[in-house]
Amino acid sequence: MKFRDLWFEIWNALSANKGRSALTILGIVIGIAAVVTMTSLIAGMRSSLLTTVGANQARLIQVASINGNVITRDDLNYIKEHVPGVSYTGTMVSGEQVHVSTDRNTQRGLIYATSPGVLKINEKTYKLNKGRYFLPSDSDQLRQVAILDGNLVKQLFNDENADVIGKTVSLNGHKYSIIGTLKPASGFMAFGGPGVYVPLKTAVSRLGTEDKYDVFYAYVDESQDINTAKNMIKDTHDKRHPVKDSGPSQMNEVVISTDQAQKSNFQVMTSEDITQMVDSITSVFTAILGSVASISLIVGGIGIMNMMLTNVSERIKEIGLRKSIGAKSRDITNQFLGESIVLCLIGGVIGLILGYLAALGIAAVLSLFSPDMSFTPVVTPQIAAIAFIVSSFIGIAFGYGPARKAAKLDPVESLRHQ
Amino acid sequence: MANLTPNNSGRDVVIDVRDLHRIFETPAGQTHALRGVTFQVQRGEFVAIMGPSGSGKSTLMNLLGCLDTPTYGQYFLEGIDVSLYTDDELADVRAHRIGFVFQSFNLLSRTTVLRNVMLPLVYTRAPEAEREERAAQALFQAGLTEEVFDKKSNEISGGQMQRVAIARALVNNPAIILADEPTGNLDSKTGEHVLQTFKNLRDQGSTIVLITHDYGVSLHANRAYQIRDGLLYEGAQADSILSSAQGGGSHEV
Ligand SMILES: Nc1ncnc2c1ncn2[C@@H]1O[C@H](COP(=O)(O)OP(=O)(O)O)[C@@H](O)[C@H]1O
Ligand SMILES: [Mg+2]
Repeated sequence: MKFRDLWFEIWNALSANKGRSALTILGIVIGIAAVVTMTSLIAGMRSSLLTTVGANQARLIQVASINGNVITRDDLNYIKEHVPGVSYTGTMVSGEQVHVSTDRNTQRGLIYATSPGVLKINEKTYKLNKGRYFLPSDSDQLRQVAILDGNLVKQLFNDENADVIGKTVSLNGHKYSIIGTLKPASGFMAFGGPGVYVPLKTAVSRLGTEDKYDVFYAYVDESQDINTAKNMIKDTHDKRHPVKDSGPSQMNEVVISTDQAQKSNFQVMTSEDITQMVDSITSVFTAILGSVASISLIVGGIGIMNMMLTNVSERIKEIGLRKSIGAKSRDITNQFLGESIVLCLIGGVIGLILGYLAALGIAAVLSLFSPDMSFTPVVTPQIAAIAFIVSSFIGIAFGYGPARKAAKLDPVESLRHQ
Repeated sequence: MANLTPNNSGRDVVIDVRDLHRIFETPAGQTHALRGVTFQVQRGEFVAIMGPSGSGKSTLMNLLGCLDTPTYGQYFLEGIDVSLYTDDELADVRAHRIGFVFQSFNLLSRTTVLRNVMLPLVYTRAPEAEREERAAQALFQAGLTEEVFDKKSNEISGGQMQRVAIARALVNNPAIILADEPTGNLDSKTGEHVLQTFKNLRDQGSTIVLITHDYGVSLHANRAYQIRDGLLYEGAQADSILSSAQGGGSHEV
């Protein structure tokens, strides 16, 4: 039997029984849709989370204090001077809520005291919309300049793309001139409300921001291997801030599990580490939800098997006829197995589409309740491939038995059936 | 196989059956459905096999059609012993050399007439380009016209259905057409027409074995056998069926 003929026979048989075929694949549709909904939601959150924490910056190392120990400007300079390959260090301190006002309008915003360069280095996260990022001189000369998040621009000027460069806003009564605007932050990045960014030294001297930090970033240039740099930063930093012997207890409970879980006051992470950390969180979700979904797929598979068995017993006479005109056992197996696989694949495709739509819907509802948390669900090629593989696997696993049963029927008996 | 070739040399033997036995094992015990059947069919013959219900007609038909294998005995189809063939080999024989016509037509109901007739070409892997042409040809041979080609097979009359089945049996140019009670589901007038179709096919060179319990039907054949209790007798006198003591009224072939 040629493949084309097989395909034709399969399609014929399935379309002759549209109503039942549709009912049968419902289980598969729901199962696949559930998997796709959940995985695409998780994938969307993951990518939003990764953008937020800067995991898209392959050359960036993040050093975070984990034990209440503070980082100072000296530390930043020291690392930059003593670790080869580190061409930049900078930090961003999240400060208080402030009143941001124009002559017409006042809104609340969260102040971020940023080293010049931090926004630029994280430009995939902090996308510049209008104007420019900070220059070193903005900070050194304590210029009263600000960069506004798109959400804040929208609240103040009714349009996130409003041309506001050069305009003045007051931050708790101090006049700042706007030098840049960012694309509106979304997802977890927007946590805490819209931000207003000011140069670090300006914030420290004029807005009372504390000049000690619990996190800083080091940019490693291409001349240096990122993991080597990471280890050197860690060693250097640990020497400057040795762990005081305060007993073994306390710190271990704070240490997030990365490869260097030794005694240290700092956690030094590359984007790879961050990705791993985020993945270890999301994979737990995926595993839990995946096992729920696989139960529904098994139920769907049993539905397919049941339908295929009915199908075979209703078509015994047809099977006999086909054998009498020369169909081999293999031809009969292929036909029924093919029907089952094609059914499941159709179910898989419908499930994929419905699942994605459902994920979009859920994300939309979530963003209604909490606009700051909005993110876009993502159907990765892997999700699509898994949906495809899983549904054909179900087609084979649950269709093979009925197909073999059909193929083994005795031609004489089947022709005599009824 | 030369030594096994039938003695009447010069004639073209399609079916050559020797001492064919078929024993069914049932929970109730053994049923000896065929008890040593021996006969031949020449190319171009129209042979009828007649017998009452339960006499073994269908069993014989299934063996001749390679749907079943004999318990013992030999079956030469066009000179080749098929009694030892595997299932797949038998399927190939059925596809290429045998055409079945059943009492209940056995058409695929939601499929068009043309598609029904094209179905056997799927299993002989006939080139797609010539399938429709061959199916149409077979339908014409079976006495049907183009109007029915695109009808669903459950939308035509019983007589037409059986002609479609005949066309389906013809489409791969089989060595033999086996018909099991082909007029059994038809009224007598339609039955006559279908039998006329078989005669026409015979005239065009087809070899036909027709199984029936109806004496009238057997009169259309060139030659007839009677089967009773698994034994085959030559001849088809109506009275010989009625006067049926064991083997009486007729001689064994
Ligand atoms: N598959 C089978 N299993 C058991 N007995 C069978 C089977 N097929 C036929 N028989 C028996 O063999 C005998 C001949 O049956 P069959 O060939 O169908 O007769 P006919 O077609 O002449 O009516 C009957 O007694 C029948 O019960
Ligand atoms: Mg019968």
